[in-house]
Amino acid sequence: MNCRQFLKSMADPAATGPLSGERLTHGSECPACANRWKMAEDLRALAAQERKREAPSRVEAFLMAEFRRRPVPLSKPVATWRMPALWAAAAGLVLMASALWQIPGRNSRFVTAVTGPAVQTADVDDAEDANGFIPLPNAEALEPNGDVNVVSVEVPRSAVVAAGILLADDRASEMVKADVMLGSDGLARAIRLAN
Amino acid sequence: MRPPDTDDVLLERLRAGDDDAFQVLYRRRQGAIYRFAMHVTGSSAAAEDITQEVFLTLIRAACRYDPERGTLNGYLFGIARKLVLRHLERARMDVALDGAGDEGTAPQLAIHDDPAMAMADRERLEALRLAVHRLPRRYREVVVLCDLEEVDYADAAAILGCPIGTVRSRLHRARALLFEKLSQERAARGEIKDLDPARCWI
Ligand SMILES: [Zn+2]
Repeated sequence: MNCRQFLKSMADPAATGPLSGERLTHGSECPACANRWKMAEDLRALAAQERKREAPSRVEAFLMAEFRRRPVPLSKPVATWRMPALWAAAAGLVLMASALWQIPGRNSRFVTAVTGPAVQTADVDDAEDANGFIPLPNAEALEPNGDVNVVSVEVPRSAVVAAGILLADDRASEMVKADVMLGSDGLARAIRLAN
Repeated sequence: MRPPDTDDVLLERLRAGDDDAFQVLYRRRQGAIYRFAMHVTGSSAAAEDITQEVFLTLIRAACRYDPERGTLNGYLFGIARKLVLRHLERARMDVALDGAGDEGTAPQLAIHDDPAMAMADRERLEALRLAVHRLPRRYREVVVLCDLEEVDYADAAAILGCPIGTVRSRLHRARALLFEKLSQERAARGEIKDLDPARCWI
């Protein structure tokens, strides 16, 4: 075995433990390779020693608090039997948004938030940061730990604007895709543009 | 006894809002992320910030992880590496502005809590640890990932954004640099004759 072969054998992840066989013979004749082997062992010892290092416990405490105050999960599967009710609720949302649009004097283009909390576990800014949902005007707050569902709908741009999302209003009649967050009662609570 | 949940199972539970799952996943993965950040930045404060930011990203955007494109561990390391590079870039600019410092890194104190370890062994490991810290960044990160954290080459390639062959060659070069550095130090102390690394580490 020469130095090159010795090196190649060291690259084998299973090549740990004391030198044996051909490698031992070469190692006893070649101090450089013996030292090289020693360094590989030292790297493993260093890895074992360093493994005791961990992030301070305050990081975990902070992250757990952040996790608990994040907005409600959005990936709960929707039970099939509930789909008709959810679609009905979504349709209701469109009607509600359209009705809002009809309110005289309401300049919905610049309405981006509503008074009072509408999404539980986080304030409005946090909810928007995490998921992009904007609470709907006059929607009730979600129940803590209550079921939440999100359905995708196509609504006229004007309806989305009426719900408080800023869009160019020159194509008000076009349809846009939106996600609607529904509470366990099937009533719409918040909306976001799908894209 | 039930085997522990895989990362992907924990992630599914986490996405559904299960804070126990987040805690288990955090405890399983935080150490390696923290150490990677600490060894590459040379700063425990930066490592703490980076670890926190990596898991905040997981909390806020767990849906961005795609298991088809690699392991969750690799995904977390990938976020950590981006933050590490950002930190190093900022530190480099600070050094350039201040006109002081070398690489801007301050090696952390070694952990010496093994009473059975002989003084010579401790000194050798400490010298090795410092030598790792002084490697150029591209070699330092591959040694930390593959040798210290035992990340496999495929994951390391995904994390570093390079082919597996590049991981192998960088690792080979990194070990050669470490060996050269340590040999020179030992020769300077008169412990060994100066070895010719060009001849010995082909
Ligand atoms: Zn040799």
